Amino acid sequence: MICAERIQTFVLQRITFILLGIVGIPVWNVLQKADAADTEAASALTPLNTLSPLLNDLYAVLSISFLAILFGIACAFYLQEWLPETNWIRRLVENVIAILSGVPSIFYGILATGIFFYSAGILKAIGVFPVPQNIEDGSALELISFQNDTPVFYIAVLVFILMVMPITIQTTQAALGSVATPIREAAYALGASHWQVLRRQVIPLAFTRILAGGCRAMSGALATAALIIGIYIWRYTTDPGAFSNRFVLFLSGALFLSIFSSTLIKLYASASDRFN
Amino acid sequence: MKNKIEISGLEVSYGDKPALNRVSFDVHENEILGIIGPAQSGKTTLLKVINRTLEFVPEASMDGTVKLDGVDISTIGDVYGLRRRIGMVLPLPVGLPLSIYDNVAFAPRAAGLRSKSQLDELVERCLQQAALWDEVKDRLDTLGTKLSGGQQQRLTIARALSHEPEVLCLDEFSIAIDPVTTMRIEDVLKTLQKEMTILLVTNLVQQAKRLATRTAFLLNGDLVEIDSTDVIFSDKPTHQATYDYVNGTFG
Repeated sequence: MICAERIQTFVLQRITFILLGIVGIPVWNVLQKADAADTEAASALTPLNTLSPLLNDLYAVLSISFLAILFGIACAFYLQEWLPETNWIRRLVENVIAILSGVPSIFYGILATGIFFYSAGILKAIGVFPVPQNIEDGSALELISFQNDTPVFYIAVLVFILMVMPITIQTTQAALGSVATPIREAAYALGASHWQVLRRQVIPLAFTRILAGGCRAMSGALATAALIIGIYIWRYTTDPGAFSNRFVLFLSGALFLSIFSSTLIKLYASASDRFN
Repeated sequence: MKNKIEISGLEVSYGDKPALNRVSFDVHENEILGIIGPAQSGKTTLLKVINRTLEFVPEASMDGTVKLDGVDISTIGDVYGLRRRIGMVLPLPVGLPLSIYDNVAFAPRAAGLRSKSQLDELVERCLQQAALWDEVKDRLDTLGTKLSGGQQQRLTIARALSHEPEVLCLDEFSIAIDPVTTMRIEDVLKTLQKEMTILLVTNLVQQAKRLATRTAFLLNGDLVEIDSTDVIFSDKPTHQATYDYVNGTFG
């Protein structure tokens, strides 16, 4: 690596750290304020109680994204490695994915509110609509945590799958396609089976790019998640302070993670160059 | 003389574009068959048919039979076993993204060889046969792709020898190798001839003259002539096109 590139990498890393610091300050402030406000409202609140809704949100988001990414990778492997290019199912899926991954993430947020959220009545009809508890006593942070049996949880699941999967499938397919044909042919000529070629050649070469794709999908989805949470809070809370606190909390968390994942993307991208 | 490979009525086309037209010839056991001809004459396609990697080209269609030891290769169920019987050296050096050691040990491992001592011995022998051992013996764990072009080419030769093939197909192996090393590998090929049948596709007609027992001349997918090398490179080959090509007055 030449000198200018070293400096560039160094500067980029510093910028990332500075941004993380900028994100960290409001998070800390909100945590402190929330702590003070809630000590008056509820009796026994520890910093852990304040953190828990944030962790709860992130936990839901991350676990769903992780599953969706795994599923997307599996889907891309099937499309790219087992279906021939002329297969109509493959062409259909690829076209749909191209459309879905081109949609700006804000529209997913609108989709979430417009379709999923307002059709929550349907969810109510089948008996999964929750009745918010303790809406009067003002313990907002307790109230709005992501419960696994709320419709919002299912909405988040659907939106996340819709957001994360197309990008993951697209990037994974590109990563698999980027493994040069001569490498596959050379391995096949040595008598390796399809599975051996995948395991020993294709996956190691494409792995970093697949991870980068997953990170990209995740960082895009996090922004929309913030919007969904905001809507959720607006709908179920009467306390305006809780809205802003919670929103800022999640937004900062999302920003933190998306910066973190874009750093990872950069790392993976440079790691994938080592064979070339 | 026993026939190792019998090709009869072989027709291959890529979509509408024909690549080989009704080619029929035999390859004798333990001979070096030189295959010469200009670009687009179907030399590489011929090799792809023999180790059945043509199946990866979606638009390719094939007719005719290719027999290895009297068995039609399209009826062989274990295609991976078939490919292990045929060593293939491709024109552009493709170092698999593994260490030098793993590159050579890839095929034996795929075939199920696990013993470390046997692998060590095999890797050393193959690298020595490919005239690469002295240059890389101290750094067997570096990436194969980090070697220079010529070294990678010799690595692919070592790799092709690693599964002890019965037929060795060399597709313009000397493209990236200097003349001195080429001569060393040619000497190795002459000794290997006792153990295996060698198909040598080459653009260097002089190389075919030096090495080949018999030489086949392909032109635009047709087999113009196949005869012993002495006849092909004499003043009186059967076809005028052959004479023109080997003497450089072609076209």
